[in-house]
Amino acid sequence: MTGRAQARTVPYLFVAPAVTLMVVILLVPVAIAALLSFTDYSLGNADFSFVGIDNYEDIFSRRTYAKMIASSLIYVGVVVPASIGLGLGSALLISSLRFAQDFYKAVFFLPTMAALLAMAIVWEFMLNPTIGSVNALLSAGCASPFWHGLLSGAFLGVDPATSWYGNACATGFPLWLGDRAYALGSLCFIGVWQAFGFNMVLYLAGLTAIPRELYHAAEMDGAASAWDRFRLVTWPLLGPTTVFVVTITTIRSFQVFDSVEALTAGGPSKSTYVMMYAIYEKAIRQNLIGIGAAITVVFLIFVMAVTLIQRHYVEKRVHYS
Amino acid sequence: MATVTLRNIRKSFGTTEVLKGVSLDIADGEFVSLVGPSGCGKSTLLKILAGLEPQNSGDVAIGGRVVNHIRPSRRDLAMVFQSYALYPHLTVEENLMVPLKLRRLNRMERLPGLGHLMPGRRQKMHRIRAVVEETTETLKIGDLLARKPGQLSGGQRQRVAVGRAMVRKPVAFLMDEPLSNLDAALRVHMRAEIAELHRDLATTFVYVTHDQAEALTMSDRIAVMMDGEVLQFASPDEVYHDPADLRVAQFIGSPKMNTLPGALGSGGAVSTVGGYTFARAFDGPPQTVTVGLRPEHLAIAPKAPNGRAIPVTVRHKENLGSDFFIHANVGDTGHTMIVRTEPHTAQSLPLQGAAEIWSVEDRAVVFSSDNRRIYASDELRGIGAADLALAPAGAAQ
Repeated sequence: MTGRAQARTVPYLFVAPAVTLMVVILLVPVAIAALLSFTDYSLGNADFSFVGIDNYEDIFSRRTYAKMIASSLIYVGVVVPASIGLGLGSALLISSLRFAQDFYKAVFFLPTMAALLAMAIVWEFMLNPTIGSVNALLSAGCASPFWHGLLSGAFLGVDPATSWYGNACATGFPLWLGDRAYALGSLCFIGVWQAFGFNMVLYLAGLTAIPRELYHAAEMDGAASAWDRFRLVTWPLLGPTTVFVVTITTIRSFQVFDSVEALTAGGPSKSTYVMMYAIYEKAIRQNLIGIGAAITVVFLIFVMAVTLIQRHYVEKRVHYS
Repeated sequence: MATVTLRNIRKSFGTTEVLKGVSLDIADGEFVSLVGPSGCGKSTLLKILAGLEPQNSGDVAIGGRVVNHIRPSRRDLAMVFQSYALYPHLTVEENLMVPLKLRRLNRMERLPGLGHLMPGRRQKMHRIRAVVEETTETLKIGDLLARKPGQLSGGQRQRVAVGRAMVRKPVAFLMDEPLSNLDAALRVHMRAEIAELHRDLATTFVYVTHDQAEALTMSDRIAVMMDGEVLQFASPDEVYHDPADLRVAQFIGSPKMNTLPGALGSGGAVSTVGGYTFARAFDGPPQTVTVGLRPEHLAIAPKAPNGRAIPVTVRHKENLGSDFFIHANVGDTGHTMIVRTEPHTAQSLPLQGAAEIWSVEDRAVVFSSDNRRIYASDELRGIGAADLALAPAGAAQ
């Protein structure tokens, strides 16, 4: 080998181990999943046949999968903005405290630290229609004229029977996880409860990185109200944090599984049949690897789309140097 | 355009007292520097004046009005920060517009999107743009308007920060070490520009710096601060030539004033190392004193002309082109002295060679052991003494 040829090949040899590992561990499994999504393979079977785009056709034509995509998007659409708004709000409030900051940080971060599967049992108990504390508390309010008046809107002169609370007092409180109309909402609530502490910690880190002199400059420039200072300094300088928080929360919300598995198992009548749960049910429980792989690919496309959108349209505008 | 008065300002952080009753009277249109080593409380004092930091006690008055409980944004001051504190997400033009928008547009007109529909906003924005344009012309930053602070050099950022302070035409400018992040050449250049800006605007400037050269070159008056107190508040000449305190004498001037131990005798005669005595008589009871001698008030030669001199050993010669600074050891006393001299004299002094130093025209400043000044019997005290020091030597006597 001549010196020149060697000089050209040596660099490739150096990166070869890393590239090989990356391909084998990261890319090949995705490629295999993509490949399997075009087959009717099931685990243990010796052979399988290609079925073309049948699996994808199923996903986009059958009502079950339409419900799956809808419930995933609703879950993401509720949990992402709510947990980010609450995370930012609580971070701003905590950072303005003079004492007990650590206490509040620890308390709000607790749901993120605790395993959701374990906490799901607590929620299951609290949301139980007959012995749960949520409905017990709500129905206790019906008996008190003050709370009944306040929550049903009767103090505003509204007819109690037309409001949700007034109506529920008369006809009974919802079954929550057992009710098609409330199950996904309940899961969203638990999702927000779990996620916002994490977002709060990220925002607290972002807030400490904002130079104090900028607030002083804003104050001197005439930003007298807290809202002006938030608009002028805090929100723009939290831009990079927000991009990160949005991306990570969206991906995590698409991946919701443990609370669904523990509390509703996708029901009632598929109202909480989110994508991760569908993959699990099809590929693991029913051993329909082909359709499971196809949902996985759709799932990956959703996540990729979110990531690309944020890279393309947002990231450039929030990094200033 | 306003006077600024600080009366008996005190401030503590925890148990540390950083300001111990500071009072200053700053005249309308005056350029005042607060100078002192880091940690002397000068930046804290400026923040108290701005309203960004509350004082523990004392009054701040701007234009005769006590503003203790008035928000910074309502004090009508502008500030240039050490880090410039430009909004990184806004262009230069938007940065300059911020103070005007916040003051001239009402809450509705400032709403994103919806604000554009408000009647009257267009005319207001038109006037704001005109003011910004005028400012950028003065500061010669017109070609930077579309850039963001991250794309500017240090000097350009500094100009934009000054511009943001200027657009509003505040009653006073506060500057917190605005030149300390620039390189040496640019710093000297900006020094002249800020002084010129002050002359053009004729507004009160309060300028915080740890660099005595900046204070001397730009100010009408300098407040020398140390350990939370103002040691002297006077013109640059007076602070330099007639320091009221040993710490002022040592802080102002580069290279530092030479200080030697000495003794004040019963007849008012002052002697220092090597038995060197000064011809002038000083007012005070016999005591140990510190004698201060500026490098330019000393002369050095291999042999002193009239025999009365401090014998030294030349240790180092610092060549500044026009002048030499000679560093010399005073015998075995461990004291070093710095003397300014002409290049041809410096050439006659070999390194490690013996030489003699004497005081030209007996110009020594003497301090008691508690750092207070002891004046010579024929010396004017306080205000006016600086004029004497500036006058040709023979004229005063």
